[in-house]
Amino acid sequence: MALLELRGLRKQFGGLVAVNDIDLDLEEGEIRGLIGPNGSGKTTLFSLISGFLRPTRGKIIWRGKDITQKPAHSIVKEGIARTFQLTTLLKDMTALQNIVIGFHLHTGMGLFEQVFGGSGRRIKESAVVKKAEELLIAMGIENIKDELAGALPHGYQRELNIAVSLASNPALLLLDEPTTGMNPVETQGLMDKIMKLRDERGITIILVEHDMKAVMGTCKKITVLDFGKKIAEGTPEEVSKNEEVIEAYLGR
Amino acid sequence: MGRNPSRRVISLPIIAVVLITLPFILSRYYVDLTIVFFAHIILAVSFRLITTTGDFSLAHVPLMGMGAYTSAIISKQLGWPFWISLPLAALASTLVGLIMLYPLLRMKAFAFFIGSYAIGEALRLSWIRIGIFGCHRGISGISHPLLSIPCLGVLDFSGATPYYFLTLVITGLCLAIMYRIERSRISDSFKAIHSEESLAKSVGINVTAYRLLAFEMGTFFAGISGVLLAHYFGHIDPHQFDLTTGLYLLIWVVVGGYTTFAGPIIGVTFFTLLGELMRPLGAWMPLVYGCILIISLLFLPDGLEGLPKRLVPLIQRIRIKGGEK
Repeated sequence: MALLELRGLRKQFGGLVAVNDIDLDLEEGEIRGLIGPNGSGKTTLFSLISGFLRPTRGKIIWRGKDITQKPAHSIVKEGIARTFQLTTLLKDMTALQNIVIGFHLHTGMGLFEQVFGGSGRRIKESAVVKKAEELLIAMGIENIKDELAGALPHGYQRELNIAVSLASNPALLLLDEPTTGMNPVETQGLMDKIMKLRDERGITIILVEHDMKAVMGTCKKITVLDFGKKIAEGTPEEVSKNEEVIEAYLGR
Repeated sequence: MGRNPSRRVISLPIIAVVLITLPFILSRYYVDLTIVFFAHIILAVSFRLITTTGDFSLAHVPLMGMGAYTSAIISKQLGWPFWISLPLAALASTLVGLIMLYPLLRMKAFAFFIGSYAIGEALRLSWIRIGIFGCHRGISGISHPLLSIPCLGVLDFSGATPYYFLTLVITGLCLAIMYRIERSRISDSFKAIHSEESLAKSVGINVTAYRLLAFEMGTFFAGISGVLLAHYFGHIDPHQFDLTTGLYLLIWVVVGGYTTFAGPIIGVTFFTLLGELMRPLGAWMPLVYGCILIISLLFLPDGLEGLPKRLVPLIQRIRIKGGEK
């Protein structure tokens, strides 16, 4: 049984079919590449899997459980986290505070304790802060701990976004173009960090990327979308030689 | 998350002393005013609590009225004491608020604002239509609180001074609880929903549930505010809880500021004092309020609460100029 199964997944906005009957099987421990030209439905697919959008048709099966109708916050509880194409951070808070918010589901405190708790609450809050600091170190960005998120350089913001999504302790991480705006050196650095995270934490990853070198180097298996449909799936070599894929990217 | 409490610790005993001696110094009229002021503080701070998720509710004042009406009916029809009708009325407000939320939670931002007005107004019109609420005349003869203490006799809160202290204590308790909420993780979640909803969802925050929580918490305190006014003046009518009052509340909070806990308190204080200073203007008051709102939106977008931050560079410039001489 695959970790994640998509069956006939379809998303329609009026007349526009953004995701067109997609079947996909994802095994645990994979770093799967998801590529395709702009508008091919990659981000929509992420939004469907992560519960930000409801599918028009089809099923999403996670660890054998049907999670198709679940809303976003429930899907995070199931163990699927995502990042966004545009940086979404609390701009007026520090990097550390952003990650602390990321631990929302794992503070160990109920609502009452969050308001009226005494020393027990303080201890739990300190534990969260400590875990947040550890995440910063794991991502290699502990130097920006007390900087305001809105003031950070773009590359740091992207890495902070990943750190925040890791706070929810996901089993599956959906990374949406994490290397946007990064130069080749930064890109490679981030790809190395992502692989290290997969090895250390056993996280399965789906990576949407436009940087072909990054994808081909990091992912053993790649799924290619075009106009919402899956047009190819295989190893980087197979996919780069696939005629339909070449046409999709060059023929426009 | 990290504000310095040391300033407040210094001024707290001074404020406490002032508040305790006020009813003995001021005339009856001004004690009445201060009681209303306290009720308005609870109303404004609880309103602002709801705005931390981004929901501006014009149903807040009608829900305050729901508290007032419920307590009035309980004490008049059932004869139950104030100490029971107060919490029951606050709960009744939250229950009615919950029913209102069913359609409201589907709306956001401006739609929520307008929808909340419509639902609040529907509630208010139900008081005018349904006999038990007294229609246009409202309810009169609402009893004053009585407290029987064994061995000491009965404490009668019908006088201005005793009721002042009752209101002071209740307001203090309400503010203490709301301040605790403000400094809690729950409030961080509210604010995350307001500033970056996608992020909030992506860390597992149930946006709908938290909006409901903020609304219900704010409504509970609005209900208490209504009860305090009902049992002091002994009379309530539907016109006290109409759009005009709701707009005044909005002006207090917008001009005072709604990004900090103190903002609405500053707003209520400012307009209460202003209201007394401008009393001779009579019917021109709404015009003055409107002008202040416009000036505030133009020159003080953060509200009065942001004034210190804006004055600091100004003061520094004056100091530098003074140093140059």
